[in-house]
Amino acid sequence: MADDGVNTKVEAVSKATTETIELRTEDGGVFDVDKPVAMEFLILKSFYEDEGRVFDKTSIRLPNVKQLELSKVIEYCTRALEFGAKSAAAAGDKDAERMVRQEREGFEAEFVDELSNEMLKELILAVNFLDIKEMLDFLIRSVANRIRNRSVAYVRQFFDIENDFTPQEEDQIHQENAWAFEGVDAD
Amino acid sequence: MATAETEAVGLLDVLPEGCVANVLSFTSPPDACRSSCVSTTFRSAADSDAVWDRFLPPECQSIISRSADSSSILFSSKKELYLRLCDHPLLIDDGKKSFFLEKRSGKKCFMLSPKELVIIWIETPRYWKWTSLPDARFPEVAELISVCWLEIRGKISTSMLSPATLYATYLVFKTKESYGFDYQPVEVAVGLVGAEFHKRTVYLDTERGRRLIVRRRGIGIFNRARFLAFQAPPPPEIDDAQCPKERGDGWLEIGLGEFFNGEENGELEMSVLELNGHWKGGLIVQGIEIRAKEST
Repeated sequence: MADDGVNTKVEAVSKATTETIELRTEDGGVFDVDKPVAMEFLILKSFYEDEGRVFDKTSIRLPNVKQLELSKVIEYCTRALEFGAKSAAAAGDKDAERMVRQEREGFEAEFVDELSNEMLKELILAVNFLDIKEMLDFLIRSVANRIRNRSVAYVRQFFDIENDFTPQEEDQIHQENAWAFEGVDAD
Repeated sequence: MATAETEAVGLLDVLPEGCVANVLSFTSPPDACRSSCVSTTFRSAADSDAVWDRFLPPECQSIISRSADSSSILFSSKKELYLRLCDHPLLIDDGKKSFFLEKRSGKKCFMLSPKELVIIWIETPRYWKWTSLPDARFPEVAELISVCWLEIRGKISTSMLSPATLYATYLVFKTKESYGFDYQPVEVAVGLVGAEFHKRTVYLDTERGRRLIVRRRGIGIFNRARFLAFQAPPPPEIDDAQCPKERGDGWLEIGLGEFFNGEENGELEMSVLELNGHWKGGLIVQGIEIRAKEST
């Protein structure tokens, strides 16, 4: 009896303190997102704060964002907030700070490892739309890592770009930058 | 809906301007140079100042201002400035140091001129003399006539070097009818002043030293007396790193040791010692170079 009482009390408290926003993706996904995480999306933040809207439980539709991407975005932003809090708590203690950094680097490496090139690009588009600066920076760095030391052909394919140079133009640019072509990874 | 997918918007069409430049600024100088070949749009991003500003070391301008030539350095873009600093070392600090960038990484590199080094007996013309050579980067270089006591030391503050970087240090020199260096091990060391020094043995004799020592194994040719000062171990088989190498600029260099510029700050000292008591001479010292190891 006593246990039940405590449990329901805890539940009531947590429901009261964790506000959530309902987000709907263009492909029918529905997500209940904690408010702190949702406020990382500047597009939402400005929707509520700048325009003086009262925060209520209206469901918001996100065009241009699909459920797979949104779930990844939520995952990243939730962890990013956690790391932010841990980092703040560790401030001043060099060893603790280093541990948080390493933990974060481990999470980010795993997170990005699981993403195909296509998924990475889709995420960039979604995050750009939602306006999440920190995650966009992270994704951009991840793209940089994917094209580092890769051939010109690989980069073209990655970004879906047509070569609009004439053979002579391309040759000339190649010559000017000849030193940079040594030791490139094979495709 | 199949049509919707094939008409998917390309990444570059949608991203804010400067995004490609942003991506490239996280790659590397060679990556950015190669990227100029991708397409015309990519080229303008790859060549942009936003990208090359990231590759230039943060204190670049302040180092350039230490050069007497700083006002005459004209460049039309940061990329041009970067490449120039890689290919044409800049004299700074009254011509006593030379500054350049390691091309693949943009890390800061320096050569200390003989005027910046401590060379024991340099002030005595019978032992050392100052001379000028057309292919030296400094106005004056030090020519060793003859000494018993060979001691050359150089120092540089780690704050001048790029952080989190592995550096290799070299004595840059030439021989001019050299003698006294055949089969003679020279002790070189690198380390932070006040901390542990990493010593190794090298040979400054270019032609003969390597061939003969490799052929003659064992202690035989090494006179016991020569080692009293050092208690050096019996000569190990010489490896390549212990012999001078030819540089692209017509000079030779011998590795003094490596140093990782990490979290400790201080004065990095490099030294060359040959105190065995016999006379040697016929070297021209251009300086000590501290350069970043090429990133793999």
